[in-house]
Amino acid sequence: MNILREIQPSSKPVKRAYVALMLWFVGRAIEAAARVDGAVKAEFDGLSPGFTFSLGVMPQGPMMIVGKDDQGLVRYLGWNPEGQKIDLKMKVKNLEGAILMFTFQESTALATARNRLIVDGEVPAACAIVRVLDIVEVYLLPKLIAKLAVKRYPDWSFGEKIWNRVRIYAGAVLGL
Amino acid sequence: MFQPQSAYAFYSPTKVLSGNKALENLPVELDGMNAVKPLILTTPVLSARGMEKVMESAFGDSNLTIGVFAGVPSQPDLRLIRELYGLYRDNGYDAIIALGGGPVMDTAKALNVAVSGRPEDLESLADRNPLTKKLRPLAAILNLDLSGCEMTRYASLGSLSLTSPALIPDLMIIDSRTVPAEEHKTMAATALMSMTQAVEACLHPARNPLTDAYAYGAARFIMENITNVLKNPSERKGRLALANAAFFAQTSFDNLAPGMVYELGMAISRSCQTNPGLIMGLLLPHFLLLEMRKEIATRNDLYLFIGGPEAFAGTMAEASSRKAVDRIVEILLELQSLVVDFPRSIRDLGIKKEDLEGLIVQGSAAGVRGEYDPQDIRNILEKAWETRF
Repeated sequence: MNILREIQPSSKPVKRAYVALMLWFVGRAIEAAARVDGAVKAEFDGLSPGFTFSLGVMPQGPMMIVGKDDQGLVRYLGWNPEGQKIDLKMKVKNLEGAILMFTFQESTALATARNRLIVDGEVPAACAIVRVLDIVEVYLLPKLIAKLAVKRYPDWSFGEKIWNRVRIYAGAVLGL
Repeated sequence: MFQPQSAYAFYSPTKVLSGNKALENLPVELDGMNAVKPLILTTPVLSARGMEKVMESAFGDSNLTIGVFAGVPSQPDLRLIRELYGLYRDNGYDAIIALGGGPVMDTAKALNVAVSGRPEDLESLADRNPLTKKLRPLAAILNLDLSGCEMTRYASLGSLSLTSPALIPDLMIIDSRTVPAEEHKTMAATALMSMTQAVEACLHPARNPLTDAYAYGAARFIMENITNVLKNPSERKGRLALANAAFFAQTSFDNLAPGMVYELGMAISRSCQTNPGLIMGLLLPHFLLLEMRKEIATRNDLYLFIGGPEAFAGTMAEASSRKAVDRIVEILLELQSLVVDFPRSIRDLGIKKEDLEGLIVQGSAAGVRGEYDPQDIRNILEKAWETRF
């Protein structure tokens, strides 16, 4: 009789930590971008009051949660979904898919087209969040990398881009 | 042209995931089928080539426990299924993943029948009694060493022939890590088998728009990639295209009755223990010439499938069918120049002229279900015996 082996596949702690760090940073950057960029603010203004969304990795995270507070301000709400009412859940189907997205080998739009994401919620809201993610990535990344990460690189003035980038980095890193 | 008066049916229940990191979707897909503990079946050869490690990595971070049985032999039998049935039940597995083609897939399909009901259901199915229970989830991971029936309703286990649409896998994954370069002869045989299935599907009297679409995809992928893959086996994109072509071809084949070249190729293969794909490659040009001469089933756009849209558009209508045959012969000659020991005719396989009579009887009886004239079968076999490509 041939041997049957039972395997408990190992976890991938380094990749998980990288994706968790990226989600934390992008979550805080979205909060900052909603204050400094008119397009991001407009996208959130179009969403219902108290709207909250999560972006995470299946089956067990990591995850980021971002939502609008009572004053309509956009807030990064951490990584723990417990006790939160989440209107839109965007889940990457596996850690490797998240690595492709967060190492900018695949844009959010391309990852969606390649069936790497599950969206649980309203499609218009999901489209708005994908547009927000695209804008935030343009601010966070050098042009060479951002062009890989977004569907279409925007034609912004150099001064405006740099000034907003400094403010978003300051907001994301220092909480200013 | 679409014919509104034509009624047709088409069945393909398989979800397909192909490309970079496709394998990592397995845990989520199994979860969607209410399965949390899969049993992976594979061969000792594939296991030794590191496929087990690839699977382990794909399930990394999923929190699932997987079972791996790497002992599927080249000729699986009922005894093996009974042993696997015990292992499956005792260890609480709830899905099967077939890693590899041919015997692995036959074993997986048969085991799925057994574990979804009782092992006795296999004999009942072989006696043409329909399955009464829904089968457990079955996922197929294709490579380029295929029998031609992996994604179809057919399976064979020793003397048992199983046929049921329920046997078709629920999920198929093609990932470059699990489609390694095989021996040249194996890859050529798989491609020729797929090409035969595609060409016979597009000439089949019962063909429909969907079988055409699948056959077209298969034929184009094979014609555009097979020689490149043999010249440069490390070319990942080409190997993926050939594995996709196999799925397309098998799906169109599964929706139509098996064709003459397929049946004769299988019959000859049984008598000389040669890969049936190579034999079908030798028979295919003669079948196409016969179809051309008879001018019955031949369609005027066959060259579109075989030569591609540009070559087809640049060819006069009356020369189109002849060009299709010429292109098939060209590819066959190229493969023969790239593959060591590729037979030049069915005579090279040790088939004697007097053996042809038996093959004609086999072909015109059970094999081709009386659809073909024995004289046509004789014609093809004699030409394939006499002609050395």
